[in-house]
Amino acid sequence: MAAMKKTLNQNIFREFKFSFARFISIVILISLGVYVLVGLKVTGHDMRITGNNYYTAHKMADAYVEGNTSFTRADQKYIKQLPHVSKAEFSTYRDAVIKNTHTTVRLLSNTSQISTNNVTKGRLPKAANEIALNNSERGKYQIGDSITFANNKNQSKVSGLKQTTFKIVGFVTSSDYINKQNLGTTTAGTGELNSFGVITKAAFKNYQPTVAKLDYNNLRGSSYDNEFENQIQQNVNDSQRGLNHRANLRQAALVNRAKHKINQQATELKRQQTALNKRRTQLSASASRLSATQRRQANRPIKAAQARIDQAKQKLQTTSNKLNSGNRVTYQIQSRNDYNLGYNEYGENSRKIDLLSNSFPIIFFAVAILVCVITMSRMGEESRIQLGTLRALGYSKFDTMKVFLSYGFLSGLIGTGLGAWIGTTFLPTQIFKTYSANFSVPDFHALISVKWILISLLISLVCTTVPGAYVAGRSLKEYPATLMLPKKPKRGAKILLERVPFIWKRLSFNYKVTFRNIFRFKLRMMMTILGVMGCTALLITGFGMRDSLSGVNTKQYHEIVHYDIISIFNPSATTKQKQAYERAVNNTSGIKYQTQIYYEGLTAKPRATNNQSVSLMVPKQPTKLNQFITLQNPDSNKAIRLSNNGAIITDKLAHLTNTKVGGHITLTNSTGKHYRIKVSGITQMYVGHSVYMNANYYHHRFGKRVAYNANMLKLNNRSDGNINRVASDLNQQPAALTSIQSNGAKKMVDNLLGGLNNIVLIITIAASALAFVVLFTLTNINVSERERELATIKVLGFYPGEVIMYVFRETFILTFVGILVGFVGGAWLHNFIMQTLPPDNAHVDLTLLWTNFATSAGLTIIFAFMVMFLMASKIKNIDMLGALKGVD
Amino acid sequence: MLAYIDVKHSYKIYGSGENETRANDDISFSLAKGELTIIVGASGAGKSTLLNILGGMDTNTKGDVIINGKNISKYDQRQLTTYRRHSIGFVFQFYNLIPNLTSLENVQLASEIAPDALDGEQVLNDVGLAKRMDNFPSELSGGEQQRVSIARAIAKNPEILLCDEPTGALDYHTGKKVLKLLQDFCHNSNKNVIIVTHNAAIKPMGDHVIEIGDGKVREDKVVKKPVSVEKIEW
Repeated sequence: MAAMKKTLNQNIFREFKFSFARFISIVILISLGVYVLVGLKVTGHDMRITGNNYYTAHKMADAYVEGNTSFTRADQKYIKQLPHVSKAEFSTYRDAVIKNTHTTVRLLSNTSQISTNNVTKGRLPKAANEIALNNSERGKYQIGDSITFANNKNQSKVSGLKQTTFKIVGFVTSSDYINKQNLGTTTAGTGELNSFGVITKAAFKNYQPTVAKLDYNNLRGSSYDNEFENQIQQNVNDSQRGLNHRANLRQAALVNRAKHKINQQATELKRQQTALNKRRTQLSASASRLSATQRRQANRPIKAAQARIDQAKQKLQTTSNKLNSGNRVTYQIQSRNDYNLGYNEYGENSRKIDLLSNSFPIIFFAVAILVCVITMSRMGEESRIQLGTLRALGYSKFDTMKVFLSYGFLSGLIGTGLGAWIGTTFLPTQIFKTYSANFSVPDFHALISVKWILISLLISLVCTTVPGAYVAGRSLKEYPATLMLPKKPKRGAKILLERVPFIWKRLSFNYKVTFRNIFRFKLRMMMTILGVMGCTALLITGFGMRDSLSGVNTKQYHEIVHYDIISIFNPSATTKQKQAYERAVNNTSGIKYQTQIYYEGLTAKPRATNNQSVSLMVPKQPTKLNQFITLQNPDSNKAIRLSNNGAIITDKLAHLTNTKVGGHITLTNSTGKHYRIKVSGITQMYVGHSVYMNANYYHHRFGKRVAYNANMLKLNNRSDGNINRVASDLNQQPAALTSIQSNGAKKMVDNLLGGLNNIVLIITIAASALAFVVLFTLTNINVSERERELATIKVLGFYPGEVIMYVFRETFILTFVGILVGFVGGAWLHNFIMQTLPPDNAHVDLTLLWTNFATSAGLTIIFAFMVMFLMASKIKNIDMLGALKGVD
Repeated sequence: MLAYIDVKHSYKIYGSGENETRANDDISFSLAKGELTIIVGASGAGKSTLLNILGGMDTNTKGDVIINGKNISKYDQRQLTTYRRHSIGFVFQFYNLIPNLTSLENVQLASEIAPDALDGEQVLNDVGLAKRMDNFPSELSGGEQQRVSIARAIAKNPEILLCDEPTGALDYHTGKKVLKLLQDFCHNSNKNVIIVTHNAAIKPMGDHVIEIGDGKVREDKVVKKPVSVEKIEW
């Protein structure tokens, strides 16, 4: 018995050896399916875990309170006692420019408990003249180097800092600045924050905290978990009102103090005026006794004193005016998602991959599995005679089925193992690599997802073992004797098309045969069409995604946004400063158009997604707005005008908040005050949310006259370098606050695109491999099932090319149909993915280019031809003499 | 008498030296035009090899095979395919009909590629299958299937009809009818029909009988008065 079993095992082993191509096909199919499934399923999760580890290592703050004025001791005490705050740490910062460059740097006071700066090399600063720089500066600077900062005029003087030259003592990472490029907005330099550095509190002149970093004690879960994020948001929402109250108290105190000072000065001025008047009277009394020259001499100091007093009075008047109209004190509290640009983007990116993981792998897996099922059932049928022989020899049913079980089990196991391995290591790392170009989150944690690996293993094993065993088991019910006879070939039958004589009669003989064959094996027909469809659809989606995203930038900057800079100034700066600023704007060379607007950053809180930043713009001259922004209906491209009784909002914002024309949208300002705004129009925009209204509607809604605070500029030279130059030139003006560059969104899309490009590449390669293996496997089955038929037509005198076409005419027709169906499927899948994949503030054009269809169809056809060439040799090697033998 | 088919010292040798096997060992014979030839021999005698060489499916190792003036032993694969296409009508032991084609279409499959093909419907009519033209092979009996197979071979209007054990899978009576069909076709059309078989009992029906044994021609006999198939029993 043992010897017999040995022979049986030998037989099983031979089965592997003789059908190696089939075995490999199954392994590849399974591993492709598992690879994409496991890979995409784990990547998003891996990214969040990696991020969370990074945030934990840096003790990242759960929320930030930021004041535009420093916090008093009482404020600090109040913040520490906000509900659920377990810990609070205070700090401040100043923004500066690295001298003789455009690089803007935020200089932070070091924190030791919350949002810490972790040293990657060297150490943290101890003395007032020491600095630890952002780790990403390690290429440019070395420990021991000194670095000098400057203000916007490139003078070595930064307000609030005792000195401007620091010695670099180390490099640090921070959880608050995880973006590598755009770290936020700043009043320094170009308006875009490029880097950060950590200095001691002693380095600040008269250190006063302006930022409070908070830890909450009622959070559960980890970063990016819904529960975690919602709890923070709720805590934050609950605290804003109280902070506004504190800000008002602070405002009142400041005003009082200023008033007191003004009053004191006013009294002093009055006293001086009285003294002066007295002298003047004395002078005029004694004037008669003096000569003309003496009189003039005596008058001169009095005139000068009067001028001084007048000037002081004037200044006092402006200060007093400013007190009433000036910037109010705000204390703004923000959650991680809002205070930290990078945190939000990183989380968004990881969720985009989750989204992909719900669509792509299903198609991959479905196609792979269907083909496996077909292959394995075919194997069951092919082994009929062998099964009968083994049964007749007295082997048990289990023994005879062993070959299918071990074949299926091994291919499923190897395939899953291979797929899970690459899917766990290669794919997530590759995807992460593309994102790590933008984020300074290191140490990717590729976790092994037992859940998804087990799920894929289960599905794979079912698909590789069950079909073969089922077909074989069904045959085993027959007696060995009947089993050893060949199964009758599948009956021929008339097909539906023959009932349409109009078409059927016109078909050449070869096509009649082809169509008969296509419909003879309906399951295989469906499989080929489905397989090709899946692959074409995946390819179209892959290419389409890339084009749709890259189209965003071209369309945005050619069709919609024409301005380059919004330069924001302080309306309560002195008249002189404002005049200087206006002159600077007017003297800037290379400005094509400019106009004044009111600009304010607001927040929309759609129910379904995170908070969205919205730019409010009120143009001074609404008729000129179209030189800067094209407001048009997204569908009809018809121009939209601003009206007195509503605002125009951008389409993605309307979509997210589910608002229609005539509806209302609620926007929140930085102090948490809500404004309900009527929507009079929805305009096309690709990146960023905006609300446009005229001065009348602004007055009506916000209850005050609009105070224009920005200049919108369109430059002749729209290069990044020129935009940076103009922005930092204008920011040198004392009246200037910051510059918003329209190309900021461009960079964001470019980054996202960079990340997706790799994913698209991976998907495209995998889809191509899938298309190839599917076509190969199905054609292989087709050829082996019809070997006898092919041998016969060879004997009949068909030339090799004719024999190949006898089989491939079917494959080509099915491929063609599959491609057509794939066009529909691809358009649908692309549409589905592109509606959810882009960032919340980006609107992507869903139209596919004809090149997407052409490239995908072209690739699929190339695969079909490659399969044909591979198969050609197999067909050529079919032995004609096989036709003479009995059926086996 | 001018030979229509002339086989001269044809060898088919596999392996070399110690392991050399001669499937055909110096085979020579000539067949006149219009003869019904029976090539008979036991299993392993080398008749299949001979059939393969005559049918252009295999080449001999040395010697000449001249069919109607063409020396096919010098042909390459492409030429052999053309030879099969134009000159040979093949009747298989197991019929080898394409299951997915009707009787007529199976015949047309062959006539489509032959230059002087006969009308498929007419040929099927001649073999007595006028009413089975639109049936698929699975709907036909074994005898009917073999008749379709013969019709398919005839329809090409070939120089030679080559039949490999044409009755091998058929019962006695059906087999007889098929042989009768072949004999009548040969005599009516004056085309060469070669039947390769192990059944020596049918020898009397041939115009020319060649017996093969151990790779050599054992007997080469031209029969003056062949017996009609009906009179043969086995």
